[in-house]
Amino acid sequence: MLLKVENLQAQIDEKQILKGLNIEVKPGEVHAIMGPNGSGKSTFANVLAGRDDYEVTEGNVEFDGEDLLEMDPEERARKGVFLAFQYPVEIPGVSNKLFMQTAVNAVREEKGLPALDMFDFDEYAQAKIDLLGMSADLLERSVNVGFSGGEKKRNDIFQMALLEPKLCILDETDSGLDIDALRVVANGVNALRSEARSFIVVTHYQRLLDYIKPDHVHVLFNGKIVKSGGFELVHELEENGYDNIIQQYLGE
Amino acid sequence: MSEVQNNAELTQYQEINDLLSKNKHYKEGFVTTANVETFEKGLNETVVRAISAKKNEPQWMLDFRLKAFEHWKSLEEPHWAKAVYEPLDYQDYSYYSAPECSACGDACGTEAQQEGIDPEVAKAFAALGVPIEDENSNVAVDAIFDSISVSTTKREELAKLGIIFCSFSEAVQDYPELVQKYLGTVVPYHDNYFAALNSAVASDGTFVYIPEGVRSPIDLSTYFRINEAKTGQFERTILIADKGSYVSYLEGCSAPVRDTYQLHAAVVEVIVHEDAEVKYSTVQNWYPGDEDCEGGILNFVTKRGICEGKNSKLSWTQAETGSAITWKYPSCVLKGDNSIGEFYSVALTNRRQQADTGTKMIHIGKNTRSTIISKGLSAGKSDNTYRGMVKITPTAEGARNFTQCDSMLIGDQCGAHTFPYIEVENSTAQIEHEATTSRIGEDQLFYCQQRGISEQDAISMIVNGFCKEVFSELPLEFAQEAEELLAISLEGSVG
Amino acid sequence: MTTLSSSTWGNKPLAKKFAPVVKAAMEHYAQLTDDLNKITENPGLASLRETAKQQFLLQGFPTRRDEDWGYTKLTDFIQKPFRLEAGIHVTHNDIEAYLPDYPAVRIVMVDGWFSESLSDDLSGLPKGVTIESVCDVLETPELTDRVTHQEKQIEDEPFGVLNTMLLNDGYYLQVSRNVSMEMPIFVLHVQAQDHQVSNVRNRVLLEENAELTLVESFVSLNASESEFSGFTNVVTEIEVGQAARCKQVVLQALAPRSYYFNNQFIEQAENSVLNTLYAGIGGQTSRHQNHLKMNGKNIESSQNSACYAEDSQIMDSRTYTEHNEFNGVSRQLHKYVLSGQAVGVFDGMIKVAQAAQKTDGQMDNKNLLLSDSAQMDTKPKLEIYADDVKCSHGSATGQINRDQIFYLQARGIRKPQAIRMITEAFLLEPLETVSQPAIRDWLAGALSQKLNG
Ligand SMILES: Nc1ncnc2c1ncn2[C@@H]1O[C@H](COP(=O)(O)OP(=O)(O)OP(=O)(O)O)[C@@H](O)[C@H]1O
Ligand SMILES: [Mg+2]
Repeated sequence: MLLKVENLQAQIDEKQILKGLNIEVKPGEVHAIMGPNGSGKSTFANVLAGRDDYEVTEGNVEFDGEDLLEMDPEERARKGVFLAFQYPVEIPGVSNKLFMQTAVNAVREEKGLPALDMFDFDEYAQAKIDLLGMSADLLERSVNVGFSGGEKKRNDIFQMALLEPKLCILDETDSGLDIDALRVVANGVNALRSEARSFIVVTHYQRLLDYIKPDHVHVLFNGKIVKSGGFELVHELEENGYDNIIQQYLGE
Repeated sequence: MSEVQNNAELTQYQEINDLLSKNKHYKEGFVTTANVETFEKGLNETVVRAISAKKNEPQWMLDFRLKAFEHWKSLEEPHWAKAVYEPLDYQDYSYYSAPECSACGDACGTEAQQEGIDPEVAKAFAALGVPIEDENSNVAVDAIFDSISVSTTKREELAKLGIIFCSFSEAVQDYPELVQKYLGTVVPYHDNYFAALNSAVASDGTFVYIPEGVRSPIDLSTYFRINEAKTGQFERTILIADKGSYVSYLEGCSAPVRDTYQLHAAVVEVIVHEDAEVKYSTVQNWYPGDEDCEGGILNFVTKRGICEGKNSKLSWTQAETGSAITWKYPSCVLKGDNSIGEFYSVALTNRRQQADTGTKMIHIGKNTRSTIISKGLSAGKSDNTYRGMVKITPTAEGARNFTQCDSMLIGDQCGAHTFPYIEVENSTAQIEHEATTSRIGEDQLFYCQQRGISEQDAISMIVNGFCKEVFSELPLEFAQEAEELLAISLEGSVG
Repeated sequence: MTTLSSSTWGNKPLAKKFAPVVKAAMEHYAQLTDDLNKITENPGLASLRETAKQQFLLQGFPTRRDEDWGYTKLTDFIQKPFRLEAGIHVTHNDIEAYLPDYPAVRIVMVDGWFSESLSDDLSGLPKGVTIESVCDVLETPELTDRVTHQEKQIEDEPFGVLNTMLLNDGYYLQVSRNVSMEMPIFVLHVQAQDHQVSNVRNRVLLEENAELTLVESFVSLNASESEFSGFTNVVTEIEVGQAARCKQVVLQALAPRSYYFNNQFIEQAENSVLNTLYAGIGGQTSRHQNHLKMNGKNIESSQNSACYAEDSQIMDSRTYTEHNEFNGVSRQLHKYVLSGQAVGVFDGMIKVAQAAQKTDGQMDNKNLLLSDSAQMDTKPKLEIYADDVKCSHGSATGQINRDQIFYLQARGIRKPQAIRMITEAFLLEPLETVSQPAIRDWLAGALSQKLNG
């Protein structure tokens, strides 16, 4: 088991948002999480990445056999938890390249690998750029500053490719993308899929899931997973919306 | 009147080691124990005369000093800046201190410096990474130790081009007509309290003259080192760029860890003639004092340049990380038509440091332009103030100014302040001023951490990004040094 | 050994030396205090004036060497000692033209004295709204502190000291808890006699959840006599209680040789909203100052000014804004249009205390110079002690944008008109925060008329 979440409860500013969430992710699996706005999807993603605005009040999260909740955010990242942000952050003056070189070397250090110097890094980055079909000039610019919405999302996928994490959490990475960009993102995810790497994909749309074919689909509502199923659940949702499922759940 | 001291006392070493262990953040904090000649503490006319005599100065120089001293006595110590300090006791400082060189003993004048640098002093500069003996270095260095210049490198090479690069004291001896022509023309002896004091007791400094049409092939630099406890350093630097010439001049400073305040009151005068360009860069890393900024350097500096001729350009770039208190406004008087003034500054304060710094851009000539980019970083319990003036006089048709002052606060115990003065007396001028205050965003930090970058690294990365526009104006090695200094100075300020 | 401490320095009282003209002016105003005190029956008031007088005699008038007076020259003012005499008879006809064209409760002050006959009948005010003349309030010695609430602060201002020395009348306005005063209160301040001091001290009190719209207009009756000169010196204390909403507009359209000093000391409590606008078009030397303290959480404030100065007018508008608590928002826009040899001065300070996290403060100053000899001096300042804040200021000075003129010309508008339109639009922008259309139009009318006259 790569990730095991048990009865996870979390709150922000005294407001309970996650109310007992359970999920298990095996290596190589792709899980999709869907759910209405405000149901707690981003909260879950951020709690996994260790954002300290959220207070975990109950539950356990085991990652690769270790207690994830005990770790600092950077420790989690070094151990292979990657979050593609719903709203990637701008950092003026810091070049994307320097930023990623520092990050890659931090992860390499964790793995006991030697640091990449500028030349090695350039080569390494170029390979990933080719893989994703990105434009190279984004590397020279400040982190996300002045990037369009789509460029920011692509940049996050690029970072994911560079860091080669074990668990990739994509929080609505498909929102705001045009058709081509969507394909780039989907291809990126598919290219990075491997037996050892798992994904949690948060999305509102079938489009991305059509490309990446998740193994499991979950519906999050009011801080809990209220229904889980296979890919067919996506079609059901696309057709009937959340109402049925929610009614069903509330009825129980 | 003077007294030779031998500082190699064990007890003092012990004290210094103790202090150093308290001050890990300041790596330039070692003390050199050369044999030094130091005047007794105190300031009066006799001291002024003695300094002049010690340097064998001509009558006109002595007259300049005496006139300034008379004026200084009539002034009150200024306390208008945001920096708060208690009145200084000027009688409690020594106004002359010089390493005694083994070659010529007590009676050493400035002439003989080249032959005999005290090995301890040489070691000190080597430890600071100042290339005073490195023939292959691509900068020329004037190294100043307390009150005097101990070494000036590469002068023969420069002399072939007609460039004069020597200590101020030597210039008084060797180029009296040039010194007399420019001394006090940009910063008159009565300009302000500390300029008057400097004019009276000026120790040493650098003199640079770039002749017409010459582009200096290498960077010229001065490294200031205050070593003696309780001495003031009062260097006087004059830089003249004649028509169509170019020079990039660098200045670095440090001082050992002491537990009493040391006073540094420098005056820099820059004269830029027609079509000439001067880039003046400073990395100021004077000792800031201990956690409470006890014993740091009080850095009260007057720097001013005049763009005398048409199309001339003067650019000040500074990275200020040191000193307990800094009070400094490198300024440009834009007299020549189409002349350009620039000011790029990064000032970082931590612990209880106080910095009050900025610039004055005085537009007189037509179509003069100025740019001010100031980045203030406050951490710990410090206060960081930008104070600047942009003045457009009625003659400055078509003048333009752009000012951007950004402050960043790191922690909630510090202060960041912006006090611009803008005076426009010509309707064709166009002035723009912007200022912002921000902090390192939680979301920025989290974003970096999510990518595996430690908090400390993330902070230093974001801070350097914030300062980038200024660092890109510094010569390469200097920029690197400035970035490192920022990282060191910020240590322990977060988390 | 020298030690660092924040012990105070400066501001130590030095025995100052004054030039003979200054000394004469000082003695003149001190005499006015003595005259007032001879007839007062309120000993508290008399001693208040006397204390202020002593302070004034020590410090005198500010000079250009004082940091805050470097741009505001007082030499002309000091040479004209203004009198303080009993009011002359002013009729309804005299002031008709200056009254607003929208419904309002109207109050008239003549040369600084509250005029009951010219003001509306105040017995019909809605319940919970009180307006009284300060002179009446002061007849009850126990109530003196009603109008001298922030006295310490007031006396930090040189013209505040002078105001206390000559404290005699003004208006006291109170809106009780939960009361919304729908109709604007319009105060007309009239300079009626030449060479007269109009000394006005006001207090405005909005209790919890109260609402008020206050309009003040400063005019000179004999503005057509070119040498007419009056001296208006106002201090207004405004207290905006919890969740209260205060809207204020001040129009200063005094005669071209008149003097105007107005210090407003405003305190806001939690969740309150303040919206104040100053429009300056008159006076030889005028100076309008807000001293605003945002003393509770979640406060909003906006302070704007629109100034037009011509000939040799000196027009000064200043704000001092203190954010003292969590989550405050302050907005400022100050615009100046200057022609002739006019001097415009803007000085603004935003100070954010350590407790005032999440402050959002913004201050903008934009100036248009229409002539070669006009001059603009600007000091937009920030002093910040909290880290989680968003503060910015901007200032720009220049000429009319040529592209804009051309754009209008290309649409068939002649150049002079294009310039007028653009200038007017520039000057009127700060009025956008005035929410009542009738008041905004009235103000815009006054500004446009001046600009195009
Ligand atoms: N700082 C906060 N204070 C109070 N409530 C918050 C805060 N941040 C988030 N919330 C609330 O938590 C709930 C869950 O938010 P979250 O962002 O996890 O939703 P989501 O499922 O990702 O929604 P979307 O589909 O719109 O992205 C929402 O109701 C949101 O308003
Ligand atoms: Mg979300």
